Amino acid sequence: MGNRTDEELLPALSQGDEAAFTVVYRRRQGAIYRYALQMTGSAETAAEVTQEVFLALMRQGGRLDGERGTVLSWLYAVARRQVLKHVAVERRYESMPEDDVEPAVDPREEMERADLREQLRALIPTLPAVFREVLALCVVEEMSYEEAARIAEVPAGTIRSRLHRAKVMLAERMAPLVRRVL
Amino acid sequence: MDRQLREWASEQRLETAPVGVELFLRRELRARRWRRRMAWAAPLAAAAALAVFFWPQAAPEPPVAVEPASVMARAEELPAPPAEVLKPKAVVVSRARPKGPAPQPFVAVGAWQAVEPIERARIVRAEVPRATLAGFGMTVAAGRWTEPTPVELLLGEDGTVRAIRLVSSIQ
Repeated sequence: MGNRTDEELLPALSQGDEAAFTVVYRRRQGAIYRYALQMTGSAETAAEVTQEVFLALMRQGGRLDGERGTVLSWLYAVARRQVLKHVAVERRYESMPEDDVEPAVDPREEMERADLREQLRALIPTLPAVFREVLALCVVEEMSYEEAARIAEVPAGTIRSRLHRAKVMLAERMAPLVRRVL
Repeated sequence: MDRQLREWASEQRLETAPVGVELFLRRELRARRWRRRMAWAAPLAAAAALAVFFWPQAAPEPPVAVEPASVMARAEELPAPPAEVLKPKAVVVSRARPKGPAPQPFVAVGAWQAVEPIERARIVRAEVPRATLAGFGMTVAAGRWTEPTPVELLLGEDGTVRAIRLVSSIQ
């Protein structure tokens, strides 16, 4: 069963087959959890989102059409909706336009005492959600622009430009630190 | 920046959902499967309960319908007939049908040929004089009018004789 694709496991999933569900879960939980983690910045919320996503798979797995899209993209779509709920509650996703990027917390004090990797780790959560999303999809999960675009529901060009802008933002924020370290 | 992002991504890829999430989901899956089974089992049980409740009780034994012309009675109890009606010479009451030749059909007696079938009947075995048989309209050989002849009398609810049959053929 482990060598079958998610789409091939759909009929068994719809029958409530625990083995099929476990295969899909173990194969995909990491990506969904990491996506939720990057988007919410909270391990607890990410676990909650992951749980909700796979509960949705349990409930609606029988209605999925494997020919219309992959199970993974459907899982991401559900995860995205869940994440948006959390982010909307926290008023972080929509309240921060892409051109008005200000970190929620000023990382400069921390950066002075940490190396570049730590600084990067501290900076990324301060980016707007749309940039965190593109980093999670294209950098962490190594998706193509087209794959990420389907999940983020934007054109591939937008994904490309968001990724570029995210890198520029990070570089700009890290520049003083880099200079200090060097 | 790209190198640092790659290193960050490598660290991130080690992140996985807590084990508790999988345990919860598998438990939920089993519970859903059980609920799905019970989803049809519960209505089935309810239907079974309703069926038992509304199932007709054992149908009462249909009353003995007695046709005036030809009667096959099934009663086993043979109480004594009213003496004033039958005036038998001797009455034998038996719970078990005696062995012997198959009984002949009942012959309706007198005016009872025209009435409705009776609901309850009793069969009485008796010995009556041949003259009595002739009085009931049966054809008997002439002579020996006082000789007792074994018969079965079919009595109605009111105790009157509705039909009669010979237990053995009359010579």
